[in-house]
Amino acid sequence: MSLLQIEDLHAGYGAADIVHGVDLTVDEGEVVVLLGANGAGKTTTMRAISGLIARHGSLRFDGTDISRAAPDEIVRLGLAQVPQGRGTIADLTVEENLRAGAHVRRDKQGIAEDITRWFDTYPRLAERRKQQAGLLSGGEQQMLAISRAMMSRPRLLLCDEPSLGLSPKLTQEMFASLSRINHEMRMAILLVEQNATLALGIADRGYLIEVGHVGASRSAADLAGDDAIRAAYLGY
Amino acid sequence: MDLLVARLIDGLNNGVIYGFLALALVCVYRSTKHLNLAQGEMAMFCAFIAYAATQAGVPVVFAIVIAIAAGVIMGGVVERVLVRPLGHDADYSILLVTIGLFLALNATAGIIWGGEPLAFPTVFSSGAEDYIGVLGSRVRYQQLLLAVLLAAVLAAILALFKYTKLGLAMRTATSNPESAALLGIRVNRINALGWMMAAAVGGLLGPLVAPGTTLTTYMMFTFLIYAAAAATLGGFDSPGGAVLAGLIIGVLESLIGGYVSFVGSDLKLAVALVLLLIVLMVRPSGLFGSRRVERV
Amino acid sequence: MALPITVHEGTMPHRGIRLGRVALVVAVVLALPYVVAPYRLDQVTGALILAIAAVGLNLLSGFGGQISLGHAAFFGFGAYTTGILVTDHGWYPPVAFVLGMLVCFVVGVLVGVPALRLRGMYLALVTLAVGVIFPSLVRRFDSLTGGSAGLFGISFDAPDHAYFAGRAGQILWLYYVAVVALAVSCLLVWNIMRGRTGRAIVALRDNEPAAIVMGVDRTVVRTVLFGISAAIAGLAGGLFAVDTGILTPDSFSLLFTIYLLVAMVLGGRASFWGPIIGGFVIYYLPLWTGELTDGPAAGVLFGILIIVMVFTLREGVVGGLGRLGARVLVVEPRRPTPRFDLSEAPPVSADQGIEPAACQPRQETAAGAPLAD
Repeated sequence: MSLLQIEDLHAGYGAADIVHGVDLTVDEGEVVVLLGANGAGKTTTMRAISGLIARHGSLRFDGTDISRAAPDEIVRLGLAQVPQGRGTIADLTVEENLRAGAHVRRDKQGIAEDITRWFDTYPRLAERRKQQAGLLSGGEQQMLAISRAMMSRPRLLLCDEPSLGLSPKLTQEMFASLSRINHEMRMAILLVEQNATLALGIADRGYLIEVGHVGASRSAADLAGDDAIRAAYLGY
Repeated sequence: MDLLVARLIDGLNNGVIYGFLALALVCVYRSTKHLNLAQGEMAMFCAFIAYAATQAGVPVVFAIVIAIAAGVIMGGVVERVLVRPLGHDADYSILLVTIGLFLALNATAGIIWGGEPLAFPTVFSSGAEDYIGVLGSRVRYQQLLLAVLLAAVLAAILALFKYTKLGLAMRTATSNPESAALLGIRVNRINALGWMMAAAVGGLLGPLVAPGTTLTTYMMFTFLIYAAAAATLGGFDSPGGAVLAGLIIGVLESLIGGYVSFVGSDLKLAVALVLLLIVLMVRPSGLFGSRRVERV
Repeated sequence: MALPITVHEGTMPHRGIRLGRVALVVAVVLALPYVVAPYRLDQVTGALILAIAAVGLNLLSGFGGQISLGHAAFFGFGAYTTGILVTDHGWYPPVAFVLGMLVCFVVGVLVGVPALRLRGMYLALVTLAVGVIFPSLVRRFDSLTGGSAGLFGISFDAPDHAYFAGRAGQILWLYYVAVVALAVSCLLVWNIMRGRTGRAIVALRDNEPAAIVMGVDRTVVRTVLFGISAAIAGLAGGLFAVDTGILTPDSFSLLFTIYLLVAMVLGGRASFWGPIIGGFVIYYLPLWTGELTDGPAAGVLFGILIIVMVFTLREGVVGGLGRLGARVLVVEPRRPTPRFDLSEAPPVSADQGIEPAACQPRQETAAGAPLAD
C-alpha cells in the first residue's frame, strides 16, 4: 500500500474548484514529481494535502484517512511541507525556526541532536543561528525551510516549488540536498516544480498536471524523454 | 522636594495601572494582531464580579482569583464566538465588534450593579497608618502590591514568550500563521490563549484598582486611552516596552501637569499623547517595538 | 420575465435605470417635507449631518485605507469655528462653514503628516490621540469656546419668506441646507474618486510600493486626503452647530468617533451610498433602542445590535442591498473593443517575429463607458 494515496481530489478557493479529480500516489522512499505550468493546480494540490484548504475526495496517509484532518493532525502523522515561498518565520531567529519545526515532538534530546545535525548539513545556517530569519538570503531561507520541515521527523516531505527565486547554482545544490535526504534517510518526497530538468533528475516517477487534471503516472526517465513535455516545460 | 517626590510617586502609581492594562493590550496584539477596545470594560466587569463575591462573604483575595477566572472565561468566549468566526484578518469588523462589546459590557454592568460608585475592599488594610514612607512621601500598601504584581506578571509573560515551547508557538503563529499551521501548531488555540491571557491580566487589575478610584462603570475608559498610548509608545509587540512606557507616561503626566501651569488638569492626557506623537515621529514602531524587516 | 434581468452597460435601458434612480432620489428629497411631521424632518436633518461626516471619514478610511480614530476632532473643529464666528462675531453662517472647512483642511493635513511615517496600530493611536485631545483643548481655552459650560445661541436663520415661516419653516430651511451640503460633499468625493486621483488613492491603499513605483506622489495624496476628509467632517460640524444651537465639549468625545466608524462600516466602506445609509443607521439606532428600553438597557441593545450587524452584513448595508439587487437586475459591463484585429494575423512560429503589417487596427469606437456608477 502506498504511503500517500490520493483519489479523486477536488479542491479550490471559494466557489470554484481548481483541482478536479486528481489521483496520485507516493510510496515509501521514492521521489515523485508533480509537473505543471503556472495555474495548473500544483500548489492547490499541495495545500489540500496538508489540510490548509477545503477539499473532498479520498486522501490516505499510511492508511489513515486525512481528508477531514486538521493541518496539525496531518503533521503529527508524519507529513511535512516546505511551502511555496519558503514560509520563513521572519521574526524568529534561525535557531528558533528550527525549534518551532520540532513543535510536534517532545524528546528534548532528539530535538537538540537534530538541530546540531542540520547545522552540520548547512554550515551557512549555523553561522547565522542567532540572526533574524527574515534577513537571510533566498538560498539560506530555502535551506532553513527544508531543515525546519525535517525537524518534525516526517515520513513524507512535500516541497512546493523549492527552486523558486533561486539562482541556477543554488537550485542545483538544493536538489542535490533533497536527493541526499531521500537516499540517506529513505525519505519519501513529493515535489512540485516548474523547473522540470533538475526535478526529473532526482525523481523516480512523475505526474503531469494541466488545468486541474492529472495524467497517468510515468517514470521519470519516460517523462524526461518525452518530446511534447520537453517542448512545453523544458523549452526546447 | 517633597512635592516632587509626591508627584513622582503619584505618577508611578498611575503608571503602574497604565502599564498593567497596556500589558493586556499587548497580549492580545501579540497573539492576534488586534486592538481590543473592550479590554478596559472586561477588566471593569471582572472587578464587579469580584465585588459581588465579596458581598457574598468571600475573602478579598479569593474574590480576585474569581475575577481572574471570570476574565479567562470571558476572553476565551469572546475570541471563540465573536472574533474567530470573522476570520482574523477582518480588521474593521473586529474593531467594531470590540466596540459593540465595550458598549454592551458597560451598559450591562450598569444594569446589574447600578450607576452609583461602589466601595471595593483592599487586599491589605488601608487605614491612615498603612503606608511605607519613601523619601518623605507615602506609598500605600495597595499601591505597592499593584506595582509588585505588575512586575511579577510582566516577568512571567516575558519568560513565557522567550523560554517556553508555548511562547515559541505563539510567536510563530503571530509571525506567520500559515507556516505555523504547517508545523503542527494549532493557531486557533493560540489565538484563544492570547485573548484569555489578556483578559486574565485585566481581571487581576480591575479589583486591585477599584479601591483607589471607587468602582464605577466608567473608571476604565480613561485608563484604556492611557494604556493604548503606553502600548503604542512602548511598541505594540513588546510587553516590557508597554509597561515601561506606562510608567513613563504616568510620571511625565504627573510632573508636567503639576509644574507647567499652562497645562492644568484638562490637558494632562494631551501631554501623554503629544509625547507619544513626538516619540513616534522619531521611532515609528515605538521605543521598543521591533521593526519588521523582511527581504522581499 | 425571468429574474435576474440583464441589462447591458451603456444601452438605453441602462441609462434609463440610472436616470430613474437619480430622479427617485430627487423626488424623495423634495417630497419628504410634505410627507413627514416637522419633528421627524428635524431628525432627518440630524441624520443627514451625520451622513456628511461619515462621507468624509469614508473618503479617508474606506477609499484611502487609512484608519482614523479621531474624526470627531475635525467635526468639532468645524463646529466650534462656525459657532464662534457666528455667535461672537456675527458672521453669515455659510461663510463660517467655509472657514471652518479651511481650518479643518489645515488641521487634517497636519494630522496627515505623521500618517506618512506611521503604520497600522501606531497611526490608529495617533489619530485616537487627536480625537481625545480635542475636548480637552476646548475645555482649556474656555474663554474662546465657552468651555464645559458650552457655546450657545448659534443659528442660521431662514430667509424672510412666507415659505420658511415659523418653527416648521426653520426646520425646513435647515433640512434643505443639509441636503445641499450632503450633495456637495458627495459630488466632491465622487469627482475625486472617478478620475486619476481616485485611482491613485486606491492604488496607494491596495499596494503602496507598487503605486509609488508607478509615480503616485505618496506625500501629497495621503496628506491632502486627510485634509479633504477633515474638511468634509468640518462642514458637517458647522451644520451641527447651527442645527443644535449649542456646543459642549462632551459631544465630540471618542464615543462620537466610534459612532462615525460604525456608520461607515455598517453602511458599507468604499461605497458612495454606504456612509449615507450608515449615517441614518447610526442616528436612528440609538433612538430606537432608547425607545424600546430605558437607560442602560438601551446601551446593551445598541452594543449587541452592532455586533449582530457586523456578522450579518459583512459588507455593510450597501453590500447586502447589492446582493439582493443582483437577484433582480444585473448590469453586463461593456466589453472593451480590441485595438487590433488578430483574426487575420499569421500564426507565430518559433523562428519568426510578429509582422506588424499583418495586424489591422480596428476603428476606434466611441469613448468607453464612465468608470464609476
